[in-house]
Amino acid sequence: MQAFRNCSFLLTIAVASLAGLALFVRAPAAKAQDATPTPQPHGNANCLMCHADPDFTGNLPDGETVSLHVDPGTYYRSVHADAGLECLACHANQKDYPHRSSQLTCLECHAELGGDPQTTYQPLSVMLAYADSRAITIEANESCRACHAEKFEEAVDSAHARVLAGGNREAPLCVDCHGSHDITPPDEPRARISQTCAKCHQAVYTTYRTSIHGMALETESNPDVPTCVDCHGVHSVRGPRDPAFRNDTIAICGGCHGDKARMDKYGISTEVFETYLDDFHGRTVNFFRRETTNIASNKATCFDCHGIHNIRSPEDPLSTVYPTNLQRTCQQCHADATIAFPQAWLSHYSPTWERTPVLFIVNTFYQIMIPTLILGFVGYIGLDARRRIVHHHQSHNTSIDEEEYDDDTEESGD
Amino acid sequence: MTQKSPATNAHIATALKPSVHPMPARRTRRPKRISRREAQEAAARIQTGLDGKRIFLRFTLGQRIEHQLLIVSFTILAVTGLPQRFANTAIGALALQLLGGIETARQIHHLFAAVFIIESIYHVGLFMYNLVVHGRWGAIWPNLDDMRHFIQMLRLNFGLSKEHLQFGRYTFEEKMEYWALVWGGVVMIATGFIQWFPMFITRWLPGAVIPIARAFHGWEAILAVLAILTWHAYHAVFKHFNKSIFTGYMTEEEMREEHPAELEYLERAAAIHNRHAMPPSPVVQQPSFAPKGDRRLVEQSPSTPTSTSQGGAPPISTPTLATETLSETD
Repeated sequence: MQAFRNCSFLLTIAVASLAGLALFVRAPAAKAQDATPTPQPHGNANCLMCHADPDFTGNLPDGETVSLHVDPGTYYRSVHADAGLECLACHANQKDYPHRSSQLTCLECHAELGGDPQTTYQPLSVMLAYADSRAITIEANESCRACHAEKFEEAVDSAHARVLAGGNREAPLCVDCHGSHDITPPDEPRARISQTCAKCHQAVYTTYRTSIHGMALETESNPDVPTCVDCHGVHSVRGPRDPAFRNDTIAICGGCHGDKARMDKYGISTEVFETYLDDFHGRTVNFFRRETTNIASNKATCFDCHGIHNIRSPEDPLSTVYPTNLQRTCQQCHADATIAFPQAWLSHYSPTWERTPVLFIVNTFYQIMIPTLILGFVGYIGLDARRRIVHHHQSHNTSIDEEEYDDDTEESGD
Repeated sequence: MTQKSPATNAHIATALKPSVHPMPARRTRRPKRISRREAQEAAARIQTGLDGKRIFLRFTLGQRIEHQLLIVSFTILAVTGLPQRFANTAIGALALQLLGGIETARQIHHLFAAVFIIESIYHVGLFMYNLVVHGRWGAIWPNLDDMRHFIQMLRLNFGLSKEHLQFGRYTFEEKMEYWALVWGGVVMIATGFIQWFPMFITRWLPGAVIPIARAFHGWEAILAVLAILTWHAYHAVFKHFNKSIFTGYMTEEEMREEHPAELEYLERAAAIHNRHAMPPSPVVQQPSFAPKGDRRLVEQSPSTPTSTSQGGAPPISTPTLATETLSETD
């Protein structure tokens, strides 16, 4: 009997230690063993057992503490939840438990498995095996590539990626703009786009909000005005000092301002684009744009006159192209521009009889004169050539036998 | 022989200011008055070619160089300018690309604009010099004969006449060409200058002149190029390749065909010259024939008033330029 008891005691220890060992080796398997209504092996429920805890924190070697809490409600409202993605779809490398040498073991919670039965609930706090919190984000960000490879690759070439490669780890990653567990469509409402950029580019955003585009976006959620990404690009965002960006400005602005359907809504003429392109500045910049060489034109492009983020209606006295501000605007490039110089610019108007009569007359004059004159020339030449050909023909055919053509064929007789 | 009294006074007036081709249009019927200097110059223009035939100097070396400068500058200006005007078209952009970019094209354009301007200034300067110093107007001015020739040419080309046109030194077609170039040159230089130095210009003129200059420059360029490609190409190249602008000379056949009145004038003037020239002398420094009497010889009217001015030493070289005894003069 005693021997049996001893035996059973030993057996208990053996079973317990085996179970404990098994848990260390393969925790999910151990879980699957004892949970009766078996949940999905790696289902969200398992993760949320811990991560739903609002007080769940992780400690980093540098002393920083980060929340490891995920609000299930937030997650289930995200687009990824709609798509049926589970935690492990992104956090694939957290499949094993305990995750990556964190010090937490099952026994800390599950006293019935041999832990201290007196354990009371304490906020979970684990030591994390990352250098700092940013390292977690950077690692997690890689998982976006699996599904969003195309967008991800675009971002790899972006100005933001260059900043990251340059050593600034605060450069935005996918999740910095899109969020992580709370991913929802980034442009609902549209103003959200600019607000997202504003997280870093606050000064630009402040200026942008006062511009004609920004005001329309913020106040009426206007679908036609550009947000940050409409000009700068989204994932492949280029640096604004990129030469190609400067040359492409005309296509960026022209994309909307040359679009009659869009401009008609606001009573804006699409001639602004055409007249610019036909001008000295426009022809030059457009040529540089056509060229794929990475050289920026130094001729004025849209924003050199109209401003960039501070762009305003030309009727706004604060606009850089308001008549009284024009000379100063021209002087940015043409340092010795006189007060008369800005008149050289026709304010994006095509020449008309009412507005610019002299120019209109000149154009009309040449449009009539050139065809008339050249057609006259061609007609005259045609007649002259016909006579000479006929004459030449006749003289060759007749000069031998018909002497009466002598006076006509004087020169061919020599 | 018989003098028409009102005309004579005019002739006296012009006689005092001798000229090769006086500016006022004259009636064709009257034989042209030929001064001694004109006679000498005409004789000098009749020379002997390598094949022993007579050739006629049509363009001096200076004129030929001017034309070559024009060919080069005009062509390069057109080639670098038109693509700028049509920079937004695919072909314009391609041309600019081949030129090394729009900025390079602009620099080449400016460089040859300078060549064109300098050539134009030289041309006008030379004209002023000839007018002021020698009293020569040149033969390029339009006159009533040109209008007659134009009508005759139309009649000929419409088959209403078979009369061979008696063109003089310049046909009306050539005169049109020349004056079109003058007009175009003035327009292009003025409007090009405005665009080249807009800051400078707007110190005195309103800015509105700049777009106007742009419009003029662009349109006039098209007109000029088209005119050269039609009018000038036909008359100078395709109708009959007129090499005289390069060689300087025309053959007798060419003269008879294209400038019969000029040929007739040259022969007549040379005859006058030969008649009055001393026979060729071995002594080179012998003073030339002394035009003690009148400075101006009129073939059929010996009653031309004699000029009392400068009986001294007219700057005329040894008159050994008669047709038969031709020596190298150029």
